[in-house]
Amino acid sequence: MFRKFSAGESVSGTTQAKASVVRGIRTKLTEQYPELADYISDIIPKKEPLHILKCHDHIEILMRDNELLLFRQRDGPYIPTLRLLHKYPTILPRVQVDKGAIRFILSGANIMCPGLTSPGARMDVSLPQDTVVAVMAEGKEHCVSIGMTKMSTDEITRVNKGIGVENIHFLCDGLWNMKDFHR
Amino acid sequence: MAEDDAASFPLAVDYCGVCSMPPEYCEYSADPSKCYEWMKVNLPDHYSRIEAIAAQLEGVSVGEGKRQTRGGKAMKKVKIKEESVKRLCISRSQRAKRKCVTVIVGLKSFDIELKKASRLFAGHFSCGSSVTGDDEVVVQGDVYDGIVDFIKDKWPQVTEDHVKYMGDQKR
Repeated sequence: MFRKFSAGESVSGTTQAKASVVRGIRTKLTEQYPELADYISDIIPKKEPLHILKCHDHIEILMRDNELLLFRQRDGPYIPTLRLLHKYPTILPRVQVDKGAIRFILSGANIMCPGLTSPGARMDVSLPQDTVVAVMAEGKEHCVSIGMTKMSTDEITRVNKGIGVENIHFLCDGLWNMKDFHR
Repeated sequence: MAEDDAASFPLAVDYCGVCSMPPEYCEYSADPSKCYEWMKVNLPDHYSRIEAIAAQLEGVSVGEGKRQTRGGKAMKKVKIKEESVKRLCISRSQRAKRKCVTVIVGLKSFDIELKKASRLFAGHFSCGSSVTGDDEVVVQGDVYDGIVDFIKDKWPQVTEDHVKYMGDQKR
């Protein structure tokens, strides 16, 4: 989603979110990520202004203090940016890929099933289709990318072919490199 | 991840200053050796840890760039940043009878943000200033003499040698 993305070209405008909008986002987030409930006031405090960056392809990015926090496409789920996820690694369920897959992911490839089922990989929890997951890597502490499952985990092990997790946001993609945004 | 630090959110994560990824991923960056050099200076802890892992794995020290060769085109080609000629051209051009503007070309080659620079100029010289081209800033007013000192002050990477005075130019 963010392979080609830059602050200059892709962002079409910023607005400061109204308090009611912020409230809506907060409730949505806590619903979506129950793990996040304890930290929500650290991530999105009630008092501080929250900015919404409108971007191409109907992407919205939430920003506070020049720090990009979450994004979503159309009316999809809010997805944390990798930087936020590195700080709060527990908010998303995880899958782990084997070592060979890392560099493909870093260049934006979707994650194929064999990369999730081989000995170096792990899928500890069973997840349904269309879940936002943190993609960890074998032997690494931090996650490499954030993806969305295209099959349920059971299916991934059974079929073991094709795209298992769609790569949404990975290290060093456009969104990652857009560390902060200057208006 | 270690289980014992579960309570201390948000985690503080260190990032490599060269490739911007967490240090453990530096081996996948475009130029790992540069990352390691940076890490040696700035994050010695991470460096020693990575070195230890690498030594354990294959007995090869890091930085020698031993890469896995399976698969073909996953890695991006190393993009070498073009070493553009660093030069700052400053000229003055007549606008109306007794008015002129100062044109500064070449700030981009010093990694200076044009928009910010123009704001600074406007503030400092109390005049209008705008970004007019890909790499051009126009300051409304004759600030030909003062601007170089100001630029050198604000961005020490610019030195007298870089500056080229173009004198009066027709626009």
